[in-house]
This record gives sequence, C-alpha cells and structure tokens, in this order.
Amino acid sequence: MTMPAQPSLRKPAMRRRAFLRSQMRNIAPFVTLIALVAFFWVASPSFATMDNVANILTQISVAGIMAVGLTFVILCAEIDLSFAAIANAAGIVVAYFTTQASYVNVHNIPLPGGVAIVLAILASAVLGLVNAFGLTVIGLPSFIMTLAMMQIAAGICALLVRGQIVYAVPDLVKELGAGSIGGVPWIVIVLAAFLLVGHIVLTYTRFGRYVYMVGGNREAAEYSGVNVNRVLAAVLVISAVCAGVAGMLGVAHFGSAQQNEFDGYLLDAIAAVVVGGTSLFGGRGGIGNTIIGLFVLGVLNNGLDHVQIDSFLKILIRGLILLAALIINVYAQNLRSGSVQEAD
Amino acid sequence: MVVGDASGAGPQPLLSVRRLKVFHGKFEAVHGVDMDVGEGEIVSIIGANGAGKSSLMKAIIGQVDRVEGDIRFDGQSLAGRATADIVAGGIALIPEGRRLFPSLSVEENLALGWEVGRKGEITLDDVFELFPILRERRRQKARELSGGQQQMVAVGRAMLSNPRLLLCDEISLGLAPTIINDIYKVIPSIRERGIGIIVVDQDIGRSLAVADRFYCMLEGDFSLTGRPRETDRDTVMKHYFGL
Repeated sequence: MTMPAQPSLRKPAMRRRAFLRSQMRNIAPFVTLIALVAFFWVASPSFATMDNVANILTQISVAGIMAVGLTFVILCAEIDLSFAAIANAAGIVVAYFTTQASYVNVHNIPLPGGVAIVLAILASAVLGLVNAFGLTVIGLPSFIMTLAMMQIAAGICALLVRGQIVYAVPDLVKELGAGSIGGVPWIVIVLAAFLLVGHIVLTYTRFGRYVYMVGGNREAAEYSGVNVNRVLAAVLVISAVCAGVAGMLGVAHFGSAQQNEFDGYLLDAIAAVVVGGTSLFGGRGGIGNTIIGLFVLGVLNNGLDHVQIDSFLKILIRGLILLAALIINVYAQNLRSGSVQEAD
Repeated sequence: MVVGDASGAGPQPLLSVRRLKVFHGKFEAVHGVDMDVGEGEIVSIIGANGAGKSSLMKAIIGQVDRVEGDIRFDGQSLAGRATADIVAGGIALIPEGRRLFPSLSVEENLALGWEVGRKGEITLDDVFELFPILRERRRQKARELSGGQQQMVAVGRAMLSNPRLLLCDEISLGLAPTIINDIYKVIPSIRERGIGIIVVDQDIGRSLAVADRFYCMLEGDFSLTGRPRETDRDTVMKHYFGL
C-alpha cells in the first residue's frame, strides 16, 4: 500500500516540532509561572488575593528596574556583576548628599534634593563608564571587569558611610520609592515605565537592533560596520544607570541605606533575566522574557512565604530553580541549533 | 613576478598597501606585500586556501590585531582606525560566509549597510534593481533564503553603505555555478559607479575574467601580478601552486 500523504503530513509535523524547539526558551518560563501560581493558589488561601498581587508587584520592583538594564547587557552576550553594588553606591550617594537626622553619625554634605539625585545618577553612569572602559578599551572580559567594579562600588559605599546607616533621601526619591498614587505604589509605576521604555528601545530603535546583532553575531556586526564597542559601552552604562535608579528607590522603599544592602539583588536580577528565557549566549530574548522571569521569581519568593517553608530551605529552592532555568537555557540553545540545522 | 603592464591604479590610488605584514598571534600570515587599487578598478586576488587572502582583507577592514606596514585609503592612513570608522569612511566588506543576521528580515539586513556606511547615492531601490528577487522577499527572515539569495543580501548590504572600495571575500564559496554567474554579473555594474573592487576568490577563471589586474598569492606573498589578458593560464597555475 502506498502512503502518498505521509510526506505532507510529516512536513507540518516536523515544522511544528521545529517551532516548539525554537520557542522552548519562551514556553518553559511561562509554563513554570503557571505551574507556580497554580501550586501556591491551591497550597495557600492567602496567596491568590488582590492585596498579595500588589505585594508581589512591589516586591519585584527594585530587582525589576535592575533587570531592565541587565537585559541589555545579557542580550549582548556579556555579564554585569556590579549592578547591585552600583545600586548600593547610588543609594548611599543620594543619602550622603541629603540632610540627615542629628543622631546619624556620618559627615555628609547636604545639598538640594535635585542635585543629590543628579549626582547619584551621574555616579552610577561614571561607574558604568569605567566598566565600559575596562571591557572595550583595555579588553578585560566583562565578568572580570564588573567583578572588580563590584568591589570598587562596595568600597565607595564603605568610605561614604563608614559602617553607619543613613535614612533620609530627597522628597522625590522618598515619594517614588515609598509613596503611592490611587493605591498603586509609585515604585511599581516606575518599574512599568522602565520595562516599557526598555522594550521600546530594544524593539523599535536602531540601537536596540544593534544590541541583538552584537549579541547574536558579533563578528558579523563588526564586519558590517556596527560600532560594537560603542554598543557594549552603552549597555553597561544603561545597566549602571538602571541600577542607580533602583538603588535610590530601594533606599527610600526600605527606609535606610547601608553597606551591602542590595547584595541579594545580584542573584535576583540575573535570575529574572535568565529564568525568563533571555539567552546567556546573547541575541535572543528581551524585556518580555524578563517580565515573565520577574514574575516567576516574585511568585516563588512570595509563595514560599505563604506556605510557611523554612527560610533556609527557601534559599535552596531558589538556587535549584535558577539551576533548572540555566539548564533549560543551554538546552534550548542546543535544541534551537538542532532545529535550525534540521530546517536547513 | 610581474607580467605585462601591472600598473593601473594611477598616481593617486584609491587604496595603497605598502610593505604590509599581517600577524595572527606570532604567526606571520602576510609577508610585506605592496598593492594598489584605483577608482572604478576591479582587482582580483587569487590563491589557494591559507595563502593569506582573507588576512589581507581583514587587515584592510581593521579586523586584525597586529599589522606592520602602511595601508592608505584615499591618501589617509587606516592605522589604528576601528572597523566602524573604516566602513563609514567608504570601505565595505562582503565577508566570507556572508555573515548575515539570520533572525532579521532581508530589509533589516540591508538597512544596516545604509545606517552604518557612507551617505551616498545608492538606495534600496538600486539594490532591488540589481537583485529583483530581494524585493519579493524583503520581509522574509534571512535564514529562510537560499545561499545565493543570502549572498545577494550580503552584496546589497555592502553596496548600501555606499562604498568607494568594495572588498569581496570568497563570494562564490558554497554556491551553485549558476548563482555564482549571477553574482559575478553584477560586479561590472558596481564598477560603473566608480567603485574600486577587490575580488578574492579561489575560482581562478571567474575571478580573472572580471578583473582589470590581478595578484596571485602564495604563502603570504604575491607570487605573480599583472593583467589577466597579458598572461596565460599555465603561468597563473604555476604561481598559484608554487610549482
């Protein structure tokens, strides 16, 4: 018996399989998010409430603003390990230039709020520029350069506050970090604005296209005449400035600025970007992926609190989830390469 | 060895290479060569695998870490200039293997040439006139094209940077003979715009047929230079293989 339909049936099936393989990076985080929400919804009656949704959104805001900048860096197939320390430095700089209460034992320099904010953002940008200089001019790998910057920024924090805690920040920072409008925390609105702008830049601008080109095929970008070093420098500065804003708002949100305050966000933001499906090898992913990754982490952290899991076990579970995401990330890359070859 | 009148670039060549050495780490891939290319001139560089042709191209476009000697474009030294700067200044490379961005559309790949290159008269319509199939496929992803169509995009991208000098590195590699003919047919029409062209290829016949002058490379040196019509195939083959 002949089976004339077989080839035509096999072709769509192969196409579907190739499509699923190529979309594995996007599908896996989404399925993970749905599974986590379903699990915590069943496991805890207090999880699926509007108050808790608002809570999750607020909890992911600081890491989310950092993750926007980090998405640019990872899309270029680079890494920034200094953004959490830069966030810390920016938070301390803005507080350092703000009038503190008399009981705060820090010899700071009070300046008008607007000036303090500009100085903090400038400080972040300068630290990002130093990262860029190390990567593009000296030729240090971003991993090494930003690891060194992590220490430099921590050193700046230590020098400014000398082990003390500072509390006051300019009114604008305080309002955006800790205030709300119509019941919606300002920090959530700032996060939404950063995500939106990040998405628009990456999707609809020439610079965004160059970010994907540099990450996807750096050699081709260079041969074509794209100024690769300028793109790499720009993404490191963007990452640092996003971290600076997150740091300032974080200080207002938590009510104090001190050394090592944002250390935990290093893993959170990297995890959000990678868990969301942005490729560690560059060129694939984007802000949409980062949003999913932020929700996965937010739901996981928040949900684990609701089911009363040992806080030490929570750290272990987070680590395991990150490991699983990394494995999927690499696996998806291999699958995609396979499906492209198959399609060819 | 020089056969016939090998001069042709004029007193002020568009590209002038003098005593150029190219290094990959400690390995010297090109050993102090001299070369000129004039405006509107097609110069072919032939040679076997590993002869140093691509190293020479990469040195001109600023993609080699260490070079010695002098490369001048329109009288200006290219020493220390970044590739982006060189492309913006009027040199474009069609790289070996095409090096397109597979996830971007044909139009987006082409637009890159326009964005990063020299501003000039060549437009997207000119490219579509040369390669009508690209107009039909302008919205398709580059990865969905055949090898020949991808090569057309690579040529179009380079042309849209409005170069004064076009470097074509192994443009026939991996393509079907009919497609290679199509690609080679457009080279003279590019030259008509006054663009100097360097064609690097292992395909001796096609590459010499289109050239005004040629350089034959052997183990990092020019073993033979001259005009294709003033030499014979045996002489070329002898210097090609170092016999």
